[in-house]
Amino acid sequence: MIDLLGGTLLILGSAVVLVGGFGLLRLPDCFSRLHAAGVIDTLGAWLVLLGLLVLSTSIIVAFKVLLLIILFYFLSPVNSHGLSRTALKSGLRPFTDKPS
Amino acid sequence: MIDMINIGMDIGLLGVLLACALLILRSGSLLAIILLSAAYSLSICALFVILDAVDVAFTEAAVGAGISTVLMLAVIRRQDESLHAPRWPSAISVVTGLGLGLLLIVGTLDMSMYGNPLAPVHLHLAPRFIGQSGAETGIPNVVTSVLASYRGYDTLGEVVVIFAAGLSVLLLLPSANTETGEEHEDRQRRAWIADNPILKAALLRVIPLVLLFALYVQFHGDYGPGGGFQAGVIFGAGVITFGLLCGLGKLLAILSERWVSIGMAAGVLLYAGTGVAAMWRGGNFLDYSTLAETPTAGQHTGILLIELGVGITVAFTMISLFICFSRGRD
Repeated sequence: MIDLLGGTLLILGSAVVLVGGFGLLRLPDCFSRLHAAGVIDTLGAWLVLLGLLVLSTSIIVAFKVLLLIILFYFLSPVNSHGLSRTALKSGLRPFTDKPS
Repeated sequence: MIDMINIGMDIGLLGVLLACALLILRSGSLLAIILLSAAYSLSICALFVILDAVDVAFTEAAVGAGISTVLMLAVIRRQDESLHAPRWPSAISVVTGLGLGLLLIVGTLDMSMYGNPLAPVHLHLAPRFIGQSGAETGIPNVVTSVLASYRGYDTLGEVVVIFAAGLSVLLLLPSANTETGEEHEDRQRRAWIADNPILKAALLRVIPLVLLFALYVQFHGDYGPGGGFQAGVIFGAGVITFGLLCGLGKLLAILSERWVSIGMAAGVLLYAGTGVAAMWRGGNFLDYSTLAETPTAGQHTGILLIELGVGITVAFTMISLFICFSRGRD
């Protein structure tokens, strides 16, 4: 039962990471690619780490994975924010279909 | 099936390494080159983990992918980011490069085959270290006892090299503020990170955790992966993050350049001083057995002390490099 739950979480996480990877390659500009990368960093990483947490056999490993989840929870969105803000500040404009 | 996956991962990671190296050769932007070397470090770090060399992987992740990327970025902020477009190499450099490469390959022919159980290192060194280092030094992590005790001379050399590198940067870079008005404006435009409330709110809360983790890595190096080099780099990274967030002025108000220089030297002195203390008590230089009642306890004390020396020098050298590269830029 636990194996099934952990495996499902891992597969779901991998699927999210895969979708994010496609987005990273296919989307047109820096900001939309950051959106795709953000999906990998947040939901993808959380699902994979949750899966590992469920599957972990020792309490020490579980605690470390839990710490990682908490760190990812705060730091990944901040990362994406910092990157997109830097891009905007250094003069990059978001891609729109309107002629600029 | 598992074997296939492992071989596939090895080939994939080595392929990424090769691709990074080729892209670095052909790239025209310093920024891209720095990020590619970080990617290179990360993939070689994964390879080290596969080879069960966790300590080396840890160092590579902290030094190669982490802090050297930050320091390099700090350097290129001082100058133009573009390079001359890479040209095809001249005939003479191709011949020299290929010749040197050939010599290196010929040189490796004398080495034992990878994984050969009859290689001298597996017949003499490995059994000694794996079988007896625990009893001789009282430390379960063989990597730490080899690094700090059996080959303490080499590690002392490495720490002195790091100290000398930090010292040369201090001597080479002008200490006075030499930037022109135009440079100043340019920097003001780029100094956006200091007034970003979100980054500040999130990262200032993480920095204490980073420093705590550095201490854990420092003092847990006897029992698990870790040690002075990794801990020093992590500690330095925490302080550098503070410098990036709050500006160099605030950092220097807490930690003046004088103390940073003193810290750089203090680590090396602690290391060499431990060696001299061993001589003082009747042993050889860096033979810690004389430092305490029993040889094992002495080894343990000596290893703790010199690892601390390594950590202090590495941390303060990183901070000093960061201060040098961003001075006059705040």
